[in-house]
Amino acid sequence: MNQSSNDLFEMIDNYIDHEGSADQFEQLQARLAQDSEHVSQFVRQVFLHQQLRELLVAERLATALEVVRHPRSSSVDSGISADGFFWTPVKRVAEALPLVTIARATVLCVLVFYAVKGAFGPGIYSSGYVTPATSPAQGPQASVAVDTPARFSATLTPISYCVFDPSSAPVSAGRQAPLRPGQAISLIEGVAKIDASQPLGGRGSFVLEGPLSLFLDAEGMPSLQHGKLYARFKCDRDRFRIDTPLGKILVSWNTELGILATADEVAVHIFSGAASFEPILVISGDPQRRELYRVSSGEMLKLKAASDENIEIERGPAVEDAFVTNISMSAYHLTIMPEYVQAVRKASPDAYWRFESAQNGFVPNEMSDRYRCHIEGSVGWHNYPGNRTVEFGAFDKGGCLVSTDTFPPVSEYTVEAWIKPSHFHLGTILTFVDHAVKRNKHGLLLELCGPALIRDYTASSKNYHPGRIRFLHRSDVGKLHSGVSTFSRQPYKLRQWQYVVGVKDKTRLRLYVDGNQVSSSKDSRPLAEGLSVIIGQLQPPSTSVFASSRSFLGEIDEVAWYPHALSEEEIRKHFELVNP
Amino acid sequence: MPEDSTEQLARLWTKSQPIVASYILSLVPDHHRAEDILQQVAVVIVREFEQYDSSRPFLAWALGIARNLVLKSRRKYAKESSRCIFDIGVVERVEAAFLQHEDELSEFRQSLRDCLKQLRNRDLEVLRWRYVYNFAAQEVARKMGLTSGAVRVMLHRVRRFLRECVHRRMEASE
Repeated sequence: MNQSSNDLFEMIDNYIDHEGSADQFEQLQARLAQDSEHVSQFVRQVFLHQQLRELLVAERLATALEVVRHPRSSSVDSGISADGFFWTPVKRVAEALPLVTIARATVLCVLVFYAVKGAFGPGIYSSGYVTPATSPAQGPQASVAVDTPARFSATLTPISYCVFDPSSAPVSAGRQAPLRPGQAISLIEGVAKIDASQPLGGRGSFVLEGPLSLFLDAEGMPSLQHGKLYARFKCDRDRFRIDTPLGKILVSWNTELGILATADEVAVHIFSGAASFEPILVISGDPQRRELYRVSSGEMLKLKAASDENIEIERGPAVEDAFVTNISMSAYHLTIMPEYVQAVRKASPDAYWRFESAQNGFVPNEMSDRYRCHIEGSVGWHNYPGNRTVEFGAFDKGGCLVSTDTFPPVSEYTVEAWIKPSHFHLGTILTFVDHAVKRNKHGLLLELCGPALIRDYTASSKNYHPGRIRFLHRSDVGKLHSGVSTFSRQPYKLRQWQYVVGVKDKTRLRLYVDGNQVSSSKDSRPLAEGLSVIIGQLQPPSTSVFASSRSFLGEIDEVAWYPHALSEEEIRKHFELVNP
Repeated sequence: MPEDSTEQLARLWTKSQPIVASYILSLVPDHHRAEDILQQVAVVIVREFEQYDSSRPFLAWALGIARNLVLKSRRKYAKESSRCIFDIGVVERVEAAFLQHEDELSEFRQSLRDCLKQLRNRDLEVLRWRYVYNFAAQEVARKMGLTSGAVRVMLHRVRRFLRECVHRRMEASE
């Protein structure tokens, strides 16, 4: 290939990458105007750019969905590299791509069909704006009306810290947003909820777990392109429909279900009520073979696009464990025996919040009148035999526990908590903050890292720590890029109780999970002065919106803070008193 | 729309969509904006499909619709992004070239998948930052601990490798 060709390709790359100068653009335009071969090379090179994006995004989604599909399996760990990418062999994805591509394109086409059909239906819209789109060459006179129908409403609420694809960011960080028909939602990370109502009073609640992509058709029905969705419906006379890459799910009456969808596989789990699945015609091929599959309570129906363009059907029991339902969250109990409480008390914590009671909006500290926590927003309580825990994320409004009493600037301390996270998400278990400081106000932080699909939020670390537990100690509160973090090596478990302890002694900070030390870092500086506690989110409520402030999703119990370092033996004993 | 039309439309769109997407990108070099326009094209195509003359090439019809939507939006795009846009004469030449290379581009796609398997992890990483996350060279450089110049060189090199690899494979299969 000669120098002239190389120059041309470099100009084309710069044009697509937004890296070239105006002069370079003029040169490119001149060459395209003069030489047909250059136009051919331009077309091939742009096609290369476009296809690279499509193939790599498809690979990215496919691998991310593996994590969603098997959140508790060991593949979660091995699937995520230290730098946060999901290093999946290209081969596996590439093999799936013909179907991926077909399904994506088909979905776009079929779903747009529904959207347009609905959008132009008589009497559905009260008003609309018109975008003419014409093709003189072929003559179609098109007008696209998109507006909110008078009889439909839907609202999106982020439940946790959410990252949306910039090209489809329907909601400002942390705030509720009304949704419009035709709106696309690409949730890269986090948990969000859509509440939709039907003209005849039917209501649907959809919990979206990123990575997920969907859009609403003209009737406000979600068209799920990929991802994990849990939904509850209450309807007498309406019917809800959820489009998936392989067909439509139709729901009447009161139904609770979960869906896992990729471009070539869709699984529907019915937890109560019933639904029908209508496979997509274009993939099933023969119109005569089109049929409705009934799925009843307790059943699972899985459809998989086979290589011969048929759909393989598999039935089985519904798996609640794969979704955040009342049953799956309740499957693991936390039983706290009096011996455990005695052991904690004996170790002399300054603060010990058991969450067994709340009076006048305060959760008491079992050790003294100081450090009692005020309930901000809405939190839930989960009752187990002989024990009660605090639950975060159960309400749209969000909530946390806050104390204004400050802790002493000790050189050693220990913080411990029992946690049961519901999702992989970026969420704060507990933090100590200086309210007088605007940024980097956290002197102590115990938090969960999310899937870390896109954002590097740990300024002190080059690497991502997807699905890990983080313990941060920062003496220089308010100073940018300060503090020392240590991270667990294994991902935390979902919907199971885990015992997390952060110990800061004179020279190091150490992190323990379930009684075992999992990581440590060097730091000899003491706890900063003037810090007070927030449990359940990162920022104080007065300065933030709940859902944008790394809200914890799940349950927390038996939180204690000691002004000294617990020994390994004490930590192990605490763990064994709950898990003998 | 009758169901057989829906099926026909789905099949035609499946085949043409990558080329239409590339055509839009060639005139509006911004992946997010190009994808927005692609969605609009799909809406118009579905709505007007009953008027489509099936004796004519579907791709030509689809590119015509795409061209009109691009022309409508690209002035605004150029103003907002301070980017230069092609003269109408070049737009027409590009459209004609996409039509001319329809079959070749379909084959290109399969070859590209095979060639991607040959890349090293480091090369894949730079491509992922660029295409999945849509980062500019400077931001990719920060993520990878390189200079932005090194990232640009790396991107050009990887694309050249892929281009030549695809070319070799297509020649071999002829």
